[in-house]
Amino acid sequence: MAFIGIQFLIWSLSGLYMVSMDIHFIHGESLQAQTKQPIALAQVNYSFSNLLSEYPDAIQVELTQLLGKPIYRFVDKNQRKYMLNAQTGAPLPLIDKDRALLIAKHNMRGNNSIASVQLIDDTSTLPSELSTRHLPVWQVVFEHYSSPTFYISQHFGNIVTKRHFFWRMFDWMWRFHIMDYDDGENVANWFLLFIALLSVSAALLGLMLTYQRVFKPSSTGAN
Amino acid sequence: MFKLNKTLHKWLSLFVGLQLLIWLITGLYFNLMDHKKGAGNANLRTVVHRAKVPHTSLIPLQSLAIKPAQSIKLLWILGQPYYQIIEQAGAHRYQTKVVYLLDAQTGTPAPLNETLARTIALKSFKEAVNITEARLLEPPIAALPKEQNPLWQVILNDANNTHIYIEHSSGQVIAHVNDDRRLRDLAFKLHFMDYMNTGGFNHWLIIIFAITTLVLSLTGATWLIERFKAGQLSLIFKHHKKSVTVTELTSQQTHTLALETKSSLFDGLIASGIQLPSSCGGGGTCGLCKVRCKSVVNATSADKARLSDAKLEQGYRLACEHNAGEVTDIEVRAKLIRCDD
Ligand code: FES
Repeated sequence: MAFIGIQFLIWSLSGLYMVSMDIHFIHGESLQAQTKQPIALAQVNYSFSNLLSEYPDAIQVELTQLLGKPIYRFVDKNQRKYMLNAQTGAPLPLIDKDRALLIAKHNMRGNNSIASVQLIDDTSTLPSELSTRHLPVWQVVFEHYSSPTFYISQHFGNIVTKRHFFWRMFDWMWRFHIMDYDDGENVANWFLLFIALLSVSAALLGLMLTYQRVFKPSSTGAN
Repeated sequence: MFKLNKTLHKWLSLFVGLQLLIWLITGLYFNLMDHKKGAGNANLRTVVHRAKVPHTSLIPLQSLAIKPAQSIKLLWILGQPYYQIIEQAGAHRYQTKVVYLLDAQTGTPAPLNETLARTIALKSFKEAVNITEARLLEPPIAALPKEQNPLWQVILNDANNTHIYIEHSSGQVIAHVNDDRRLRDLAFKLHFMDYMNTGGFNHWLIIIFAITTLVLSLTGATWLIERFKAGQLSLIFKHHKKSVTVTELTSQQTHTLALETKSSLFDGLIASGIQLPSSCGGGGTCGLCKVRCKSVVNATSADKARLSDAKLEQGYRLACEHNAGEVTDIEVRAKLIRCDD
């Protein structure tokens, strides 16, 4: 039973971290600038109907903007991603390093300088904090003690995920909380089940002691 | 100092005890539950909205009076194309937003109507089922506390009491809330102490409880370490026994018992069938487990705190605070005896 004590400590510590840190802050929402200009509709010479005539299978079609220019983003039925210039309809090339840096700077709330930039395009170099479905992406790390990191889709030029020290910490706390020490994805592990069962009995026993102590003071008393 | 630690531990256990049990039991439930069922998705299936529409039939955006928008999506709802105008939206779908639908062929405003909501609901459900009622709800929505936008609620008359929620600004199925899901949501509510229905876990009540629980764990750990140092807990069980003469005053019986030297006298006596009165379970705080030692045994701080000078002088000590190894001949007044020798 004494070993359960360690897990209780871990649960309370990780639980406290998770409830006291604002979840939107953890998600890095405060890192991203929220100044969104409306799309310049007057410049959109290539219409949705032009797009459909050229790409009849397009789904999830969105007219939006990238660095102030109107663009279309969509995928086809094989989930292949496309990005077009909304003025001309011309397909836009994959985001290169310079564009990635521009996008990163444009979206960063502070004016931190860039610490590193790197293309991640296969699963062998995939950091554990990023999901495979986002590949390929540019990883842009800013200069700051919390190493804020933007992951920018190479096809779409949008920020797919933001990470920083506090998120990474949260992720560890979550793993400790659910006692999944390999990938943090599995709440249903046997180890957790075993410890949780043991803990319920420990807590019940403890509560019985508290109950006896507080609500049933013995007449013999202490002296 | 150490006494304060114990006192704190007891009072904190009173404060967070019940919630601690709730955390553990709901945690256990999350560990064991079927996650797909728990999410309410047992009968959920994807609704196919996309259809072939002649591209020429789409009305150009320029011909419409559209207010400045962040983005515009081309959506299909049950085979019909719509422009979804996003004037303003947050990082999460459920956050307040200004989004509306236009019929992409006529350009007229086309808010998701009841017929569409009902059809989408039926199509999203795996089995054939009837609808009891459909209505458009404004937030706050009890079943989905985070939601800040209007949703259609379509109530089915299935055995699992399913309510289907559909987003008014997109026709997207947000959730199938059925009895399985309600159970899971209740477990979440309890685990997150979300008794104010915020839909999240970043609130002061749980923060206070979390801090208290952390202190409870820390005082508990300190206590354990203290006991370990006192030799009352050992990791490797070495069986060293020692003969102790025990006189039970109520029954006037004397036994010679072989007690574990490394465990407390309190525990050792229990193992031999003699249970001393106690309400702290051997924690050194209730002062009920006193025994009289005929040989000299040094008094600990717990002894001094719980026993009067006169008693100490007479040789009374707390059985839970001393190891069997320290005594040879004692007098006890037991609560229960079950001695076989
Ligand atoms: S059992 Fe309570 S003080 Fe010893």
